Amino acid sequence: MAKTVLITDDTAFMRMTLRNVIEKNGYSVVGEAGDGEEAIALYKELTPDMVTMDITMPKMDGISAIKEIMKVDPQAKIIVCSAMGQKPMVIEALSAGAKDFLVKPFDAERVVESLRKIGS
Amino acid sequence: MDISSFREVFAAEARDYLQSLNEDLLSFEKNPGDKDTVDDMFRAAHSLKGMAGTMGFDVLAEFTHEMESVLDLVRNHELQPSSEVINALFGAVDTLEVLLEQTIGDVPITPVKDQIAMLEALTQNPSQATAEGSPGSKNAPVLVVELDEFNRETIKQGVAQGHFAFVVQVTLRPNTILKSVRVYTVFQAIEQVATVIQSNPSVQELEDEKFDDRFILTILTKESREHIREIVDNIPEIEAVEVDSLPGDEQELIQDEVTVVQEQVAATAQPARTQARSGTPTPAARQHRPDALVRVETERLDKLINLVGELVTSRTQVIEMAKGDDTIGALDQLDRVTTELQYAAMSLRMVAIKQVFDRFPRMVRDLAQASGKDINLRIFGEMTELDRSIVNQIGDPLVHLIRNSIDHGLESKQDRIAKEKPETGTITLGARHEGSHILIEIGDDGHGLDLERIRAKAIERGLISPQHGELSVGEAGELLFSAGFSTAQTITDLSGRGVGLDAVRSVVHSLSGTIEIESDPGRFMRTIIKLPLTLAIIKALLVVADGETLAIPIQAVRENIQVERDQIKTVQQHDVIMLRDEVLPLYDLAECLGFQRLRIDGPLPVIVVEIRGQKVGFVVEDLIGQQEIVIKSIRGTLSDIRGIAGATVLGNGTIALIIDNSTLIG
Repeated sequence: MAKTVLITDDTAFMRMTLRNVIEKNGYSVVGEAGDGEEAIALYKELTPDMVTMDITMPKMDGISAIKEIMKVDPQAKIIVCSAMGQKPMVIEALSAGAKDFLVKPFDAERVVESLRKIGS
Repeated sequence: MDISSFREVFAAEARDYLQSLNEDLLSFEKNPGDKDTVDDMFRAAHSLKGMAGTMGFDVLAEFTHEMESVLDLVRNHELQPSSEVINALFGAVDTLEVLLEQTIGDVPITPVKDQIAMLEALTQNPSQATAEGSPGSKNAPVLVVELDEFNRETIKQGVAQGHFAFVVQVTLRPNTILKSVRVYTVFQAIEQVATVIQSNPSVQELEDEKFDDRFILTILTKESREHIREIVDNIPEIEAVEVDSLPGDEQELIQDEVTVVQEQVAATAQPARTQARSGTPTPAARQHRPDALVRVETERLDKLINLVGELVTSRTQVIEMAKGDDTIGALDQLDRVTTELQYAAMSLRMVAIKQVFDRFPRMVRDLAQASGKDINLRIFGEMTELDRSIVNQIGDPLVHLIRNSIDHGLESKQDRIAKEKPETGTITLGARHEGSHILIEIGDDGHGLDLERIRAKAIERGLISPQHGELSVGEAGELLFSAGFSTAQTITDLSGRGVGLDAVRSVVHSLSGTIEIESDPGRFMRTIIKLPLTLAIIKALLVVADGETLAIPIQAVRENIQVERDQIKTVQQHDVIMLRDEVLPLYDLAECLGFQRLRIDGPLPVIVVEIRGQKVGFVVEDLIGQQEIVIKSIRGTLSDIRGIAGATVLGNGTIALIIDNSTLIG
């Protein structure tokens, strides 16, 4: 059974890029969320194995979403995605419970490594 | 032959030398006028060079040679020990440490051309020794874990509570983005199962990304080494992770051997060496050497043996008191048990001399090749056991003696053929027990002592007067072992610059041993080192002088006699008696020690003692008897008092001084 992934990003382009990389490497993307609130709802509904979580998003940002998801499922495996210059927020996300971080622009190999290690 | 067993002995000894070089440099820096320290350093470098050379570790030997040359200049006041020179020497020791670990760990050796050039600059230009920068700084930065006092204490306590102390070396993948955040994830992961005690570089530097790709965490954990490795390895962007026990020197500092014992438990559970992937090997990481033994600090053993010794003493006392009493039966049992306990405790300190002998086959082979001689090494008695502290110190003297035999003893092939000797020379190295001593013998069937050449050399060096007649073998031996006497023609890798035999003698003496040479000129030479089996407990004769109880080591005592006053004669204003046709000089023991001279009537008890081959008689007040005593050294102001070797506590709680025969009379 392929591991399932929920992608969270406010831009459709980023979601597409990520989906591309993730699916090519034998994982199954079970959902896409455009903001934090959507991510929480989809997490509860789909119970994916892993979540990628953008930090800056409308309605609810990634860090708040991570905190909420961790409340629902302390075992949740979330990979936080950040842009350059967001170091403090990455650290905040990690201390909130994210298991790894990716920095945009994404490097395909890094994405796969992260999924492999966090998913194991 | 198992080459790895030499390696271990070599590595352990070499680390000791580097350690003492470091310590000596520190004290030399504070007190640059101290000649002894320079001599010590020079000898350490010299020995290290020799050892490295015999192991075939050329880079190490070459580098040490450069360092030795600098020290030689300093020793001879040709090079001022300026701060540049001292810094260079410190740098050299650091470089040596790296080289040593690289050599031992069989990893590629960092080129040391710059460092060598730097030392060479000092030796070639002694007058203006101002080179730039310390050589160590030119090295690729090597991370070395050195714990501060507080952290050391924390680890000590953690280990005592059953944690393992590990050094986790993490290498990030090159070009890692947000390095500091990656480090943060490593901390996060590790802190779930361990406590990070120290981080090198510091946490601040890691946060500011002031590091290359590598950092080291010293941690306390209850998890196995392998588990820690897995946890870190499971973090993305980690190039390599290595989990090791603390470096040896730190372990010593923590002085809690619990670490080692537990380490071995962990190692048995996970025998795999925990280097992840093909990460670059690191010189700073020291491999843990597994053995099925529990290692215990010698200090603790000493304490145990001390206590056992005291138990034995009080047993003797109790038995004495109970004589003729009914309780004697019950005491027989106590007697038997304590005696056995004593032997068991002593045996803990005993190790086979094999661990020293094992390094010689290779050394002899290499030296044979270098000198173009055919040599057969015959070893016997290698399972002979002796005190561990003696084993640790006897290695060097043996190296010197064997080299001497090869270098100066054995003739060249042509000479041997001409003399109708077997073409192949024989070196013998052996050990055997004799009473409470061990005899170590180093021999060769070469041309023996060249008495005439030694005499000429001794005259040239001003050690004997030109009028001195033919030397006896014994006298020649004495001269060979005296300071500054070296018959080596040139400075070679094999023989030294006049360090060697006198150093051999001082080591042997410091172990309460003696050294003797036997030789049949033209046929053979043999050096016999006689050492006590242990330095902790000795048999002594208890006597009284001026009301004080004194202990005379029994090994020197030949007999006890009673002397009537009218037997005493005066020769050259000295009291003597005739003892079986021999003249025996008499000394008053109390007077020798600066006590009140003895005034008793009637026959005098005299202890006949052999000092440096001469028998002398000591007049005492009374004789108490033989006893086993535990030697306690005297420290501080009272150390080094002439005639006193130490003190011991007797069964009845009184303190007796132990006589040092060799310095008692001038």
